[in-house]
Amino acid sequence: MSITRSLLDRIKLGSGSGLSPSLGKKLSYAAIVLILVFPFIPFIDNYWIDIGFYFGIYALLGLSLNIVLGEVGLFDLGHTGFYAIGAYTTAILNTHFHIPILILLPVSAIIAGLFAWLVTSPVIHLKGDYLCIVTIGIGEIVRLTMINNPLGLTGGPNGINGIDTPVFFFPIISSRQFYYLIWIVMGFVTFGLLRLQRSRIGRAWNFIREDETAAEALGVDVRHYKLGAFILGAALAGIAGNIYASKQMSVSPESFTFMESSLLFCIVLLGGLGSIPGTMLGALVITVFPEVFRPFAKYRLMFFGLALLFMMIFRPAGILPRKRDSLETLLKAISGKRKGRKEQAAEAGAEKSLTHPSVQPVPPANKRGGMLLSVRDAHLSFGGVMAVAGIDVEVERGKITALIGPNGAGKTTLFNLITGIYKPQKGSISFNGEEISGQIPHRIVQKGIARTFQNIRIFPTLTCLENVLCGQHCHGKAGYAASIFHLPYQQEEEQAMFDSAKRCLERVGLGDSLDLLASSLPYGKRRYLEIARALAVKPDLIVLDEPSSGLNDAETDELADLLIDLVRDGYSILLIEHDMHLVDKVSDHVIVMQSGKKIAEGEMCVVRENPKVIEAYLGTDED
Amino acid sequence: MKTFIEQLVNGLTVGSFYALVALGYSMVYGVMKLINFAHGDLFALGAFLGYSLLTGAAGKISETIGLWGGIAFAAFVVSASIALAGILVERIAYRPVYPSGRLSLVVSALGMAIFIQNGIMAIWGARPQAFPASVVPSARIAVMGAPMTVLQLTILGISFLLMLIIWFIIEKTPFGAAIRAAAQDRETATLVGIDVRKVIIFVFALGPGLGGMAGLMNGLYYRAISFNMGWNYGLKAFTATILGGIGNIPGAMLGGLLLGIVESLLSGYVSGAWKDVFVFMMLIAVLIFKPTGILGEKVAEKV
Repeated sequence: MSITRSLLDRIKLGSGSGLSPSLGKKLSYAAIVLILVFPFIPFIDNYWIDIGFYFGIYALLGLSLNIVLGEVGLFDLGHTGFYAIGAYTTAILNTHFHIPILILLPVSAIIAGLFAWLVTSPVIHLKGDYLCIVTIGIGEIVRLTMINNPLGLTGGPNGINGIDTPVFFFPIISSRQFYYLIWIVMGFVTFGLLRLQRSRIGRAWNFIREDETAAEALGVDVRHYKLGAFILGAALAGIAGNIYASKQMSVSPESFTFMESSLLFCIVLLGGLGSIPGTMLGALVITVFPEVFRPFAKYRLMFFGLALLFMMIFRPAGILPRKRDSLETLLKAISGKRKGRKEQAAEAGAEKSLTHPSVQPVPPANKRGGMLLSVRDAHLSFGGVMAVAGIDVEVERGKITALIGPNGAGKTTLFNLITGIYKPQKGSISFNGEEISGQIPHRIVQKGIARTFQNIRIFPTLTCLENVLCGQHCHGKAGYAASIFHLPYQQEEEQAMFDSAKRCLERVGLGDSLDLLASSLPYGKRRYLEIARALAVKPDLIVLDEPSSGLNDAETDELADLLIDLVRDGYSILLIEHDMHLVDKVSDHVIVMQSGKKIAEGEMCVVRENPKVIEAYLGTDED
Repeated sequence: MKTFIEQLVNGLTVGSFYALVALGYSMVYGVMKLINFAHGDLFALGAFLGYSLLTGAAGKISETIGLWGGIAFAAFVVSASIALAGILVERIAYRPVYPSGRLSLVVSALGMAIFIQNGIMAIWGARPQAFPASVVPSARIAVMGAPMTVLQLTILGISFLLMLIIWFIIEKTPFGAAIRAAAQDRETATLVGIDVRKVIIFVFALGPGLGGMAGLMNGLYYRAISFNMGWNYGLKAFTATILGGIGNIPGAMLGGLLLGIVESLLSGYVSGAWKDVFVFMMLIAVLIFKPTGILGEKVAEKV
């Protein structure tokens, strides 16, 4: 029993891959060499080279879907639609206008990307299964449209024939040439995706996958990154479509069925969600499996269905799940090729963060005193229930303000109004003198409000460091190109982010858990991880929703000390709390809420004596 | 007017197939929050099983007790066997995978669907089969001037009867209340003493049982059946489920009938070739503007 348990923990810690980094590296090199020399191995005839080509196509499609499904966690069961758009773009433009195939390669990518942007924009807010159904619908609409031959463009059920071969100084015709074409493209794509994975963008995708609400509440523009993933995924599928069309010299709707989308879905899940080598392995299994079972032609797909089933029963995380990088690996990745500048960059990073107010021991004088946040006459009702009924709340700079009140008083709802998860129906919220009510959460984070959640919302399968990097996200600027090409400013930015995130973790006493997965932390430490993540935003105001819930007395005392220290560092804090000892110990100002209204405020010792407050908590004698 | 009534009744017939299949999707989704991708293929399995029975054993019965007797016998055997198959699907493909999360369930559901579909192909072949005319009743009557077959009217009658029974079970019996409770909150349902395991087995038997029955009726109605018909019907029925509000039992029936009528009118008056495109666009529009469907209720996410 205990062996099983520790084994499970081990799997969790190692993210299940079981491959040591050095062995993994050796295997990757071996795989690359094998792919390079494959067409020249004796006994490998054109038939098998073609299978190698289709392996490449499926690997590319798998990687393109992996961005959407694996990295961002969006169920996309209509990915073939984008593949079809790429293939038909190539086919139509080539046969009608005789544009060379290789020029159409980027064109197909762009058209497929544009199409994805167009069709997913209105539905990107849908969650889980609903989005999944929409993508099924999109895939089917594309296929049916191709069958219906609009304007005589798509050739109906028979599709389009007579597509040219690509010409790259020489025509690419033979199986071997096509094989190298797809794998060269794959090489570039893999390189770019590996870089993206280990960047601000890849991390943002993962934050969204792990917990969309938490990601948005900590400054990630969720909509933007979801759309970005769809567009990039579609563009890559479009490239696959282009190469596929020119290899086949024809396209027809039969190649783009729902079954095909399901296969792609299975490739990603078989290989391991979010894992690039895993996805390739998944593609290998899917392309080679039918060949191995060719003698049993009649039963092979039946076996395939069974294999999927057993795979999900016995290895649900996939063959090669992604292993999260340690800080060391991450640092090596950004400074490996610039050893000379490594020290320099580290220093620059350290200097930069030292000058930042959040890590300075004494906050700037102008940060002391004055109003930081003021909520005026805020209203919000759910159906007939007035959750927040015209409340005024003010938070002073450099103070700890506590919001207390019985359950259902509307405290968390007020927090959600302040942090932008809900919009007030009436009233105003101003922060640093600026109106913020009605803005989306990630914008409010940028203005300097960071929060934690009542029921802890960390990103369980990411490391502690990565969790905290989420708070840093809104301060970064590096986009797709900068992340793929490792532009100097992106490298410095990453370095500074790591340094700063590390310091935030040290600040809450988690300096030794950088590389641990967040899910492996005990409950109490997860609270601290959430606080560190909020600190990484470098906020003026930290909003804590019941930070002591689930902590024992000793841990609560520790928490109180931390909060007092944080205020000394120059932060202002607004907290919801039920533990009156904690409130008594740390708060400068207490606001009591009941039924969506403020019933008292002042210092704790005064508020405690207020008859209204006593009544709210204990009820009156008369009943 | 004659065409309209014809189209309407055709739509209702197809719609009742959708509705019966949609019920299975909806019940399973309600309790499990799982899209049972294998459901459409169980429907196809029902059609093929019915075909074999009517051309084999039940055909012999028909000779002694008449055409309708044979069909009734086939219907009984098909529903029972597909219900059993549904229980097996849950036992083999889903129960061991529950702990691994939603994504793994989607894949094992797809795996099961591929398995059943190709199993049908392995047994009955890749070419479409046709119910021989000798086993399909061909009597005709005219309703308001529109010619119809007795078979079609019988199918409609039985479908509505089945839906009525399901509605009664779900809404009016204590066991139905247990199902609804499990659909709203599985954990709390367990806490108040509902045997959720039993509920799960029940919905996995009832849903496919109805689906198999619909498969048989579909085969009798169109005569032609093919091993991959499950994908398409499954997708349509699933669309119907969304239209009505997923997890909502009357919604599934309403969605199915509505979808059948809309499809039929579209192909009758607009364009048969584009009708499926319209249907899927309608699906997306519903998800954008009223994701809970016609009868579904909104569930707010707690932050």
